[in-house]
Amino acid sequence: MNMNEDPTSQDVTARLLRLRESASAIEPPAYVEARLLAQLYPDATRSAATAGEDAVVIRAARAHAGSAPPSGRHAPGESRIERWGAWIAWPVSMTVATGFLSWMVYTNPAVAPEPLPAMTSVEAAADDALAATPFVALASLDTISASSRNEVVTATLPRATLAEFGLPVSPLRAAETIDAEFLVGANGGVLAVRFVDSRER
Amino acid sequence: MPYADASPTAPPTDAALLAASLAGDSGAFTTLYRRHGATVYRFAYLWSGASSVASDVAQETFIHLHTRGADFDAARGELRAWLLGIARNLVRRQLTARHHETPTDFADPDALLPEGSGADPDPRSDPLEALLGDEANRELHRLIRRLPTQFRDALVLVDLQEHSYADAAAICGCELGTIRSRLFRARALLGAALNAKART
Repeated sequence: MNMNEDPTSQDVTARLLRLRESASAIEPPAYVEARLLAQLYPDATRSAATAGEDAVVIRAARAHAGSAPPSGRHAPGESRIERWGAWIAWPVSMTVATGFLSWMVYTNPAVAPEPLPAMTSVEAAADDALAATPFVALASLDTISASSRNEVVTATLPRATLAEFGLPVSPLRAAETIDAEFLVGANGGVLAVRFVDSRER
Repeated sequence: MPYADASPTAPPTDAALLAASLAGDSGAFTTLYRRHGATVYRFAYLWSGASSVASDVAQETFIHLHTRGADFDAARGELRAWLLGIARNLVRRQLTARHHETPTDFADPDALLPEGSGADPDPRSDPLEALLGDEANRELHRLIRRLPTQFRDALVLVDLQEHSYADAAAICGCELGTIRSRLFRARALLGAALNAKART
C-alpha cells in the first residue's frame, strides 16, 4: 500500500493493516476438512496425515456396506465379504486378546487390583459428562429428519475445536485432541456432531 | 508416495500434489487442503462476512478441485490463484442464491451498497466477528462488505490477503491496471464512508 497519500488515505491504510492482522487469525473450522474427506473419500479408514502437520484422522468408514464404492486398493476379484472380514478381523482379535489377558490378571489373587470405591452420585454425573457431549445439530432439524441413510464418521480434532461449538475448553488442555463423531447424511453433508472424551488420553 | 519426487527435504509442489490427488491419493488432497484451505476460507469470509458462507465456499472449492482439477493449467498461474478464482465465483453465487439478487445489481457502481443488501447476508453477529478484534475493525469490515463487488475483490485480495496486483488480476480475470483502479476507488469509497461516520 502506498503510504504517500493524503491523510484520509493514510487513515484507511492504517485501518486496513489492523484489520489484515486480525483477520490472519481466521482459520476454517475443522469440520470442513472432515466433511470434505467424508464426502470425497468415503471408504478411507484413515486419511494420510502429512508428517509435521496436525493430523485429522478419519477412523471409521461408512457403516453401510452397500454404499461403499469400490476402491482401487483392493485386489481384483476380492469380494465385499472378504474386504469387510479383513477389516473386522483386527479389532476382533485385539478384543479377544485383551479379554484373555484381563481374565488371567483378575483370576490371579497376587495381582488382582483392589476393588475401586463406589463413586458418589456427583462423581458419576461428572464421569457421564466427560464421556460425550450431546449431538450438536449443524443442519436444520427438517434436514436431519429427512435424511434416512445417515452414517457416523469419527475424527480426531484439536480440543480447541470445542470452542467453535460454544462448548467450554480448559486452556490447560486446549492443545490436546478429542474424538468427534460426525453424523453424515447420504449426500455427504454433516448433520450433527458430538465430542467423545477419551479418559485414557 | 507418488508425489514425493523432489528432494527429501523439499515439500511437494502443488502440481505434484494435484496429480497425486487426481489419481485418488487422499493424503495429497488433504495436504493441498491444509496448504490452501485457510486462504480460500478467509477470502470467502472477508468477502461475505458470514462463516456459514465461507465454510460452504471452501468445501465447494475443494470439491471442484477434486472433480475438475484436471482443468488447472499451471502455465496460466498458481494453483492458489485458480482456487481463489473459483471461490470468488462461488461466493457470489452463494449470496445470489440466498438473497435472490446479484450484489452488483445496484444503480450507482461507484457507491457503497445499501445496508442490509445482499452484501450483508448475516446481519446477526457472526461468531468469527470476535476474531476481527475491536469495534473499529468490525465497522471497517461491515463497510468493506458494502463495497461494489469488483472493488471488494481487489481490496480483499490485495489489502487484506497480501496478494500481488498480478495475482489479483489473474484471480479476477482482468488487467493489472484495472486492479489498481478498482483498489484506488475502493479505498476512496472507504475513506469517504469513514469520514462521514466520523462526522455523525
